[in-house]
Amino acid sequence: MLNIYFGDMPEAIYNTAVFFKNTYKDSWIASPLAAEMIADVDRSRVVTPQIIESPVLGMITPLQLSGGVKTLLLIANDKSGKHVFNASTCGDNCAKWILRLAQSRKVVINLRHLMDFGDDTFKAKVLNNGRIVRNMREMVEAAGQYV
Amino acid sequence: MKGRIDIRVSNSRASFRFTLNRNITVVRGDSGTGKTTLYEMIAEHTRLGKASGVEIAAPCPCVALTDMDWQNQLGHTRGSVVFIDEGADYLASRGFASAIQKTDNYYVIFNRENLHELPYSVEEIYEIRTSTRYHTLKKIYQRREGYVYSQARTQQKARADVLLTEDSHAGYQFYQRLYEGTAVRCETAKSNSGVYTWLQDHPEQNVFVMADGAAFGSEIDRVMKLEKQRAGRITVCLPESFEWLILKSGLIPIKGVEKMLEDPGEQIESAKFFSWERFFEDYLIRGSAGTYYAYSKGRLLPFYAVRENLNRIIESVAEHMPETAHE
Repeated sequence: MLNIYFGDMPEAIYNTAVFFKNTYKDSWIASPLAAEMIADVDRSRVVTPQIIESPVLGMITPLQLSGGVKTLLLIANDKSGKHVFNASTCGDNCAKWILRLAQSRKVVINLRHLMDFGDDTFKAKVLNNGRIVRNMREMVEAAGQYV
Repeated sequence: MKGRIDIRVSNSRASFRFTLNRNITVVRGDSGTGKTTLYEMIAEHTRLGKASGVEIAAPCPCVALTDMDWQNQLGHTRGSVVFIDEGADYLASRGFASAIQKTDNYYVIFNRENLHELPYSVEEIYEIRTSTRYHTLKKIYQRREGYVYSQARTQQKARADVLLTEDSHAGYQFYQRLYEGTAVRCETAKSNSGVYTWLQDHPEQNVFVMADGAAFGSEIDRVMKLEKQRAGRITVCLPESFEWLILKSGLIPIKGVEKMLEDPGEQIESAKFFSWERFFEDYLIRGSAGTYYAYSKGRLLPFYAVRENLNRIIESVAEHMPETAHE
């Protein structure tokens, strides 16, 4: 399930781009899930784990992926849940991927804004007050005070 | 600095063209739209100048705040547009707000957080729009008639039980007087951040929110999300400021006020005024000083509370306001 701590969280990794630069592995980019996320969010195609084809920038390295995709890759590959990442580096177009990553395991993220998880129902726990929310209305009411 | 600043940043792959209208511009929106690309182009140009291969056309230097020692870097930056990436964890701090408050720079901030320490305008929050290799900025919050902001498809005249203002002084007193004797109750949230809290504490109320758009940027995201979820129960009206409404009404005869209102940015020096709201307040106080209608933020003079003047002041936002008994 998705667990979200809203607002300032000193132990969270705030600058996910720097953390990604120093920790990512080629195997992350080579995974089918990564290819799907990169295609959907950045509209780019993984050519090899070192080379990605961007419609705007041409051939780029994983370091030039968007901040949102980098954070998604960090969350996806932190399977032990050792770190909490600042997911406010992700735009709303990353929300469905965060929900998907949280379908099969516990995912904890830090949000410093109200990410829009869309009009469908979902399930997330607001760690600040322990409330379970099932749609955006409940999330806005439960978490807006923390951001 | 003051006035509009047209900027073009380009390399062989991408071209960004946009105009800055005020001292603080916030860029957010979806991932993968080019925010990091723009920031990195500016950062490379900051490090290497023309040798970076990045071309920047602007009337003043454009620099990226790259140094971990950002306070030191800011201390040496004058008359520039400063770009700050989302990885800067000091952005939400009081120290950062204090550091940029009296600088004569403009700031472009890539960040989705609600930066409560910064008085930025709801009009200066953008996302990047792309067409092939060309990118530009588009406002996220579209203003409708009567300075109403809404995510609803249609707009109807508000049926409000409560008019909620963030002001607790002259503005609040004004709206109290305006709705005196009507079914509309006036409440003060006492601050911008108090607006969301008040709305959250009163879920069953139909509320017309009246706040200063010039400084409500840090609140608009969560308030608009609440507005969307409580469809029809919350109306959000954000004129520049209460003092701006008075100036715009023409009630106070100040030489040059009409010209100033046509393009306020041309007169608002960023080093002196952190937000347009403060400029309008200062302009009105100075322009009315020594007269029987001398404006004071602390207490509303009887002159402004005369029915005819009340109605005149709200003219530009009246269309969607709850009806007063005296209309």
